[in-house]
Amino acid sequence: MPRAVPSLATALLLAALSAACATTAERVAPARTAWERGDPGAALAFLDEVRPKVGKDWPLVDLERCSALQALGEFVPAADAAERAAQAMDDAVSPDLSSWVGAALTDDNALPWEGADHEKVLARVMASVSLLLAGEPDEARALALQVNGVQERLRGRKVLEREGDARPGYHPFAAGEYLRAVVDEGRGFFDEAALGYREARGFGFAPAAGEEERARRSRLVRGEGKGPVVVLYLRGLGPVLEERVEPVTSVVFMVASSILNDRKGSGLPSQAPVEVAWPRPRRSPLGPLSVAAAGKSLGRTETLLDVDEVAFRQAADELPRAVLRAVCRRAFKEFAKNTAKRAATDRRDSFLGFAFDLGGLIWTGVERADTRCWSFLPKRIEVARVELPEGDSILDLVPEGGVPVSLPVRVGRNRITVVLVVAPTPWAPPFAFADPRSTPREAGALPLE
Amino acid sequence: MRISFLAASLLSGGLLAACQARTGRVMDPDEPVGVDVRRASVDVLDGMMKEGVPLILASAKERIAGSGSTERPRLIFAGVQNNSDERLGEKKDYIYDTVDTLVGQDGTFDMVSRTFVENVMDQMKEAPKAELLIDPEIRRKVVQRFEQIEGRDYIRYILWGKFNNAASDTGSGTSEKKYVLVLELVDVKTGLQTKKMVDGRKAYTE
Repeated sequence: MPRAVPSLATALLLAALSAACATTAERVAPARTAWERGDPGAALAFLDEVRPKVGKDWPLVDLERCSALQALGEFVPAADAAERAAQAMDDAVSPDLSSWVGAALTDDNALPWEGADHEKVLARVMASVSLLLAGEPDEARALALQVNGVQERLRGRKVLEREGDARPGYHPFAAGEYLRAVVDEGRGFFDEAALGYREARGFGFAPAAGEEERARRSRLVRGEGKGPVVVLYLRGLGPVLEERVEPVTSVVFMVASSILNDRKGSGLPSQAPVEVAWPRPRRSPLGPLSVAAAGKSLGRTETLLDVDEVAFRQAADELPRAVLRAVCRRAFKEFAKNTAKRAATDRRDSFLGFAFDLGGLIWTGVERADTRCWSFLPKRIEVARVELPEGDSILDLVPEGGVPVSLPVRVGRNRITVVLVVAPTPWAPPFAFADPRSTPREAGALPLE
Repeated sequence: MRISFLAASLLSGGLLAACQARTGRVMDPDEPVGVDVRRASVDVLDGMMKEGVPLILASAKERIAGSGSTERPRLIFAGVQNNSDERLGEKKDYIYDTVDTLVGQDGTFDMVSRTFVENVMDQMKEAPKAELLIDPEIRRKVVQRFEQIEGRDYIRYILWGKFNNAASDTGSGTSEKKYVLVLELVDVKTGLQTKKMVDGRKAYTE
């Protein structure tokens, strides 16, 4: 046993050091700053640089890259990045042994980033939006259908987890159905589109514009020489996860005790508060987007998805498990420290005993909550649906509290025009794009100020 | 003892991670095709295309023989519309090239080049994508344009495919997916259509 003491001291030191290393959330922070000041080019350059250095957390970096690429109008790479990340998040549900050992020795940052439920769904939503803007409606529809599949899976899993529990499970949102309906309407499948909009209404999205009714009368609108225009607006900055001190409830304490009592030699849980991740909303004066053409107001965006709300709901849902993991880990660390200290006491080495006490303190002290999150997400995803005469028009896009932009579009009677407006910050003009078929080539795809 | 075991686990984990270098090798033609674990890939797509193209060509030959025409009719292959819940991505080009080549090799039709078609669409200020010919409105406009440029009945047939899938949850973390490729051939002069469907199945385990 005494021979093991130096190696144990080294292991403790290594664990403390690795916990003290910068987390992926910290590594990505400069890119987040660039994004917050409305500079997606600088954010992307930084993310490309940091991606090879974050190991298993590359899906998180890819999701941030997806948002930056969208703002730069690079839609196919944006969709690729989001889809790759979505698949990796699915796979991260069963981490390998080394990740578990790493998480027990350090903190949850050692586990592969699985992403919150809403991030798993939004990865597909953003891939679908990107493909719509890339002029690949079929592929956008495929991703929109996946959104529904993933939501069904999450809902099923949550129901199982919450059996006998009064807490609500996963709340599906309407974005997948809405995007599918947009593609179907663009293809001229009006009944399918109306059905999709109705499903979206079932998920809580009931816009004043009445998409369902409009899809039904799309044939009529086309007969009048008009075409529908859907404006997708990524408004403001979504929440970011930060550390928060959370008390250990008696229920969590009892569960932790029962888990640890079953493990021979494990430590005892303590009821001292633990640090967990909790979303912080980012304030933004940006309001909805007004859409006008030729001096005439056409409509205003409405909320398809409130990212703040789903992130808070998700965090509240996840909180008991995060606290439980932290309590169990602390007990494990306490046990490891005491075992090492006992070995040192056997050798009558009081200095080593003191060193273990100190090392244990640092080991527990440097533990960090898992604050990895998709920080480039918007605060809200909003949509507006307007109708414009066939041919070229200039759309005036005016974000409330932000900088207005103009975007030339070419509207067709027999298709749907899709416009994306990305506005992370109120101080810079938003990034606005139309799908390739609706972008007048002679005018260029770039928004005009 | 427990500590040594932990150290050994960590060390072997590190060594295993270090050994996972990317490798590649040339496969023998008779080796079985690798099966994609997430979606339809070469594994099912190849089989469906090799089965579906001769089926649609056999129908087309019957129709051409019945019309009494001695000239080889011209055909545009528009591509594949993806109606499934899987993104085809770059496999769309793979499907395009395979079907286009299989139809061309058969010799029943004179194939109109995709580049030519897309150039004409570009001149019409349409998005230069052959796939848009699946839309009847665009198809009509493009065929008219070809008649203006190359003369009457320049394009006689347009062929396209529709790819779809349906999943069944078979329980215990397994699911089965059926993939369907529908090939549709339309005679732009008469409006008559021929459709053939082939399928493939895959089982997935989570």
